[in-house]
Amino acid sequence: MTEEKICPACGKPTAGYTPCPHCGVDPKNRIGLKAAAVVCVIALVLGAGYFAMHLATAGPQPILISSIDRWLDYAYVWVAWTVVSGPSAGTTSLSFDVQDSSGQLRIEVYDPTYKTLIAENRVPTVGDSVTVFGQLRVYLDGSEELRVSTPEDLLLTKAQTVQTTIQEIMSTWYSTKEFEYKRVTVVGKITNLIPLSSAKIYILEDNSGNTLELYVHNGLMYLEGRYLDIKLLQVVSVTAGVSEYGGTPQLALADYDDIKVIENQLPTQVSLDNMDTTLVDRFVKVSGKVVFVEMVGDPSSLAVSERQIWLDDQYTPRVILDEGIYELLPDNTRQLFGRGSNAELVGRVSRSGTTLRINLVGPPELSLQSGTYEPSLVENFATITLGNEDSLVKVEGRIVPGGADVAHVTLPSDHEFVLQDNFGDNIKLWVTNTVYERMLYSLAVGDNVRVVGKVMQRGSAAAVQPGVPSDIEKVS
Amino acid sequence: MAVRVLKWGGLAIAIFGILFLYVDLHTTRIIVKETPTVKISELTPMMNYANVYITGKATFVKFYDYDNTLGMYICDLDNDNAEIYVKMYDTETKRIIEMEKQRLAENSPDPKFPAAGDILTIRGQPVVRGGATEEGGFTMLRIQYAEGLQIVRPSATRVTIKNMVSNPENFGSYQRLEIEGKIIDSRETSWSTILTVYEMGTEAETSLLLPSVMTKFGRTLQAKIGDTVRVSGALSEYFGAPQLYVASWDDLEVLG
Amino acid sequence: MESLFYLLFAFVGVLIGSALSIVPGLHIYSISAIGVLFAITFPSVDPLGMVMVFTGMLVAYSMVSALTATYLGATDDSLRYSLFPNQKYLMAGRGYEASILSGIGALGAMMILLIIAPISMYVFPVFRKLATPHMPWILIGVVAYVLQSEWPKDWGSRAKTRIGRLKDGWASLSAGWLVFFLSMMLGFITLNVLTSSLDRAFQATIMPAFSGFVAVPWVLTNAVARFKVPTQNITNTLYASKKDVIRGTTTGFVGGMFSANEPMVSAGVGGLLAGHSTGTGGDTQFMVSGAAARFTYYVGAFFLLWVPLLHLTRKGMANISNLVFSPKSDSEFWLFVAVVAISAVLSFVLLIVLSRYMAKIIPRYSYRKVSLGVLAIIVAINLYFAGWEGLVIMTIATGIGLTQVMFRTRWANIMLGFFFPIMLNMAGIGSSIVKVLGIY
Repeated sequence: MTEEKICPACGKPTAGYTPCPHCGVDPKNRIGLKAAAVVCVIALVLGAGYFAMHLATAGPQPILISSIDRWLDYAYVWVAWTVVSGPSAGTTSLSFDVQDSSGQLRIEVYDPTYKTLIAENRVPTVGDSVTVFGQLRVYLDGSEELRVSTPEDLLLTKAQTVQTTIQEIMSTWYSTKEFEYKRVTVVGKITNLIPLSSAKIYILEDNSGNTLELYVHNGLMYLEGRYLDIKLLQVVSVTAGVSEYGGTPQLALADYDDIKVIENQLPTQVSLDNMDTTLVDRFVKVSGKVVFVEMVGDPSSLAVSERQIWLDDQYTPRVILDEGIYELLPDNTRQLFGRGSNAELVGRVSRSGTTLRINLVGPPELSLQSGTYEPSLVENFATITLGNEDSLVKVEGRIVPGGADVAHVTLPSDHEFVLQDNFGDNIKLWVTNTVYERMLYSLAVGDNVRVVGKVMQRGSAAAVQPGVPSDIEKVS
Repeated sequence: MAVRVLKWGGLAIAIFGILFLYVDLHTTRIIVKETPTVKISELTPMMNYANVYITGKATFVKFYDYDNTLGMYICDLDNDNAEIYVKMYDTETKRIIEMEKQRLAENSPDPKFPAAGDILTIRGQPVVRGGATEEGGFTMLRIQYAEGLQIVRPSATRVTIKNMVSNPENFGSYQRLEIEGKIIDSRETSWSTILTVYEMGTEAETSLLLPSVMTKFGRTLQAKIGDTVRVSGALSEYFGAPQLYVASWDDLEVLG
Repeated sequence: MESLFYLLFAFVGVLIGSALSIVPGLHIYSISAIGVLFAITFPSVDPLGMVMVFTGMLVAYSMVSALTATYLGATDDSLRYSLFPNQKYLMAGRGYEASILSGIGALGAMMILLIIAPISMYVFPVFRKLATPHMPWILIGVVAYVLQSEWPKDWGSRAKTRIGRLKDGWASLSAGWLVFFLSMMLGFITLNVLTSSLDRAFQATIMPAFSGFVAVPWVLTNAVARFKVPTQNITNTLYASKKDVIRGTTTGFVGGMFSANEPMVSAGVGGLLAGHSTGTGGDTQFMVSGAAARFTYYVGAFFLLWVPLLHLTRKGMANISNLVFSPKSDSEFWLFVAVVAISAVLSFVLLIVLSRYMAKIIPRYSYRKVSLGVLAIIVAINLYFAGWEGLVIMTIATGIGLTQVMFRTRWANIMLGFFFPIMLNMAGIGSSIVKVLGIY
């Protein structure tokens, strides 16, 4: 006879059967709630342990730059680094480079975080220490960047400033690099300006002739709301971080207020006739009448690379004006830039072989007043020979066959024409593509033209080369 | 009986309910609402994941080569401070590239790929943290389908380069202008080609920015140094220097 | 110490989450959305504290909501996978045991999460990088598998004619395809077009559909079902083998983690896939794995947001809480893990207490009346958050959900169908379809 047993699971009689015919339970398979209690205790212990880790790891946990690999693409990380370049600012973003013991990385900050950092005066500069949280991007070409999302994700410690000199920075640079990525204050004189597409590099020079570059990113004007106004030969005190570019030190300016003008030095007033080699490397102020301007083209494009200016006559030192500096001139100054204008300018004397030159460096100090100048007409081309090389002449004649253009692969040709005077003598007219492509009209055989230009050598003969498009006038 | 009601009634409700929604979508719009138009400054977190239209002017447009996505900043037409970031994901971005390629091939005037200066009406899902004009607020709009992007490219005003570079303040931000000049220089950046154009007679020069994404529109740059071109583009600036942002190949005509 | 206050926040969250978990039809994301509104309205509230409340709520919900499913029949999609055994146990007087077994499954999943936490920051970024480029085809593969792997149901009697038998064989499968299609069509509408007022969109985009798919049909079927809940046996011993519990827990964890990591895949789908791939069988494994999958799906998905180096936003809670707080540091991650552990233990205790209470009182009430009461609550909640338009959507979704239940096809078809438009978008073909449908 079967025993009457009750199923412990459902509470119904099982009639002794196993498993229970009602609910299917086999009482041998059972777990007590104690097992769950044990699990809970273990969970609480682990939870307490993790809570302790939370307390122990409070604050950012930066990673090393060298540990960044493709697996970390899109990962969010903390990094703690020194700012080594920048800031490069735009209208909607800001970037700077940072470095730790293992490498460098670019940090990008976009709107609205960017604007908040500006408002809070927390834009990192060279020498500062930053602790940053953001999303890593590791691209297929190996480049990496970290994008900062919110202002709270950037913790900034401003660098302390060290007083030093240009000489000290330069003398230690190639040995101890004592000042690399430090924030320094130096005094120097502004002696040149190199405009780049996104920045300007000012040259600071001390009394011993040591120079140091001052890098001013054009985007600072967005941060500052104005342009930087410093002049040639001003002695300034600059506070900036020392970064590195191309192996040489460079000051990275972060704030226009970090430049203070101490003194305005004056150039030596010299007349063009009295220039000699004792003036080499010195800044001079000269004046004269512009008699000729020659556009020198960039070999890879039709852009002008520099302009050579003849003042008063062909014998005085040429003034060399880099096109980047020319583009910094105000519009009304550039409009006056031509033959006949009376110019007063400041430049630095240099020597090329035995020839003296005046380099019109930036920030440009140049004033022009309108005027006229017409060289005398040379009617007989036979009198123009290679002995007149580098002279200024004015000729008038008819274009006859015989010219030979010089073709270029990717650029328009340079043009050679043959001009014939009334005596039947010929002279070559050499028009570079830089000038020709800027002319409002083209030239052809049969055209009568009047040309002002310099005498130069083409092959074995003399030729006349105009300097600017307005030097060529089609008479008929 | 009740079970049968649930069974067949449920099926009927499901089928006719779905049909009703689609009829409603095309006619009465009782349940399925018209997609509302919202000003950028009026977006709130409660509108997250809704479907809305916004209209604004594109102030920044970039195609990201590494993931084939499109990112844009759009500002409210009446309020420059109200700005939203718009994102289109890769599959739809590739579609609008193909659409632009096709419309250029067909010489159709309606642009399919946006550029700075365009007036865009966009349908998408907002993602709002804070509000559009609040400090710390961030707003984004996700475009789900290319059909949600309508582009009006304003006609360009003919100007001289001289006038444009001397008096950029006379023109509106990202206003479309048309200039003529000779290409004298060309250089590549990481995401664009920059052409320098010289204006005969005035000696004024300006830069044209051709985003690299244009090479995906089925053409390459045919103009070379020395060519005279007529170009339309949105007036932007590069560190204070005016430049024109070219939208597509029909903005650039080689004259000789 | 400030950090101890965060534990207090979590404790409050556990209490709120547990209390709300036994309100049928109320989804944790709806409550969290209200919390976000609160945080935005009162910015002085510590964002991390707010998110600790959410964490406590989420953990509690993941565990305690098994009670509503077991005793009240109102569920969300993540419970459907394991529901049938829970209901069986209830009718056998073992409802209490079923709910505790579910709790143990969740507890087990929590333990696995605790154990892998220290290595998660090294392992998960690798998984993410490997999986991301393949997301579209993985998702479409999941859909294809779920649709194709359904088997004909036994209707209890064999039809006498060949046509009849053919009909029986294809009834469930056809219904599965139909509900997939219908929910996909609903998804195209609700995910692309406004079906409420604009200022309700945050709440109303998905809640009515989900309520209609899952909660309302189940409540309706309970209401018409003629059964009386028998007296429940409350026991400190659970009649299940350790092997079943361990196997169920690990299977559920794997399925839950898959669904946590993959967008648009719900816990139920993850549990189904894991169950199939590991040959899960038997009621115990079903219930335990379902609960483990559910816990891992909800809490694991939120966990991914906190993992250092990862910070992956998946599923509702991560999206919602990101609006007020974004975790950044290792320290915050360890706090989160500690809170999960402590909250889970608290929730388990509350589960036991509440289950005992419900086991005692449920048999005293008419199941029909309880179900109708639950239905009224669901309707009220949807009306409040989504408006009358939301009720229409809910009704239509209810039709789809009832079709699934009454034709005995898989609920997973509904979930996958509803989100299939997003998968089509990822594959680049969604736009053609919305144009044909006239949505764009």
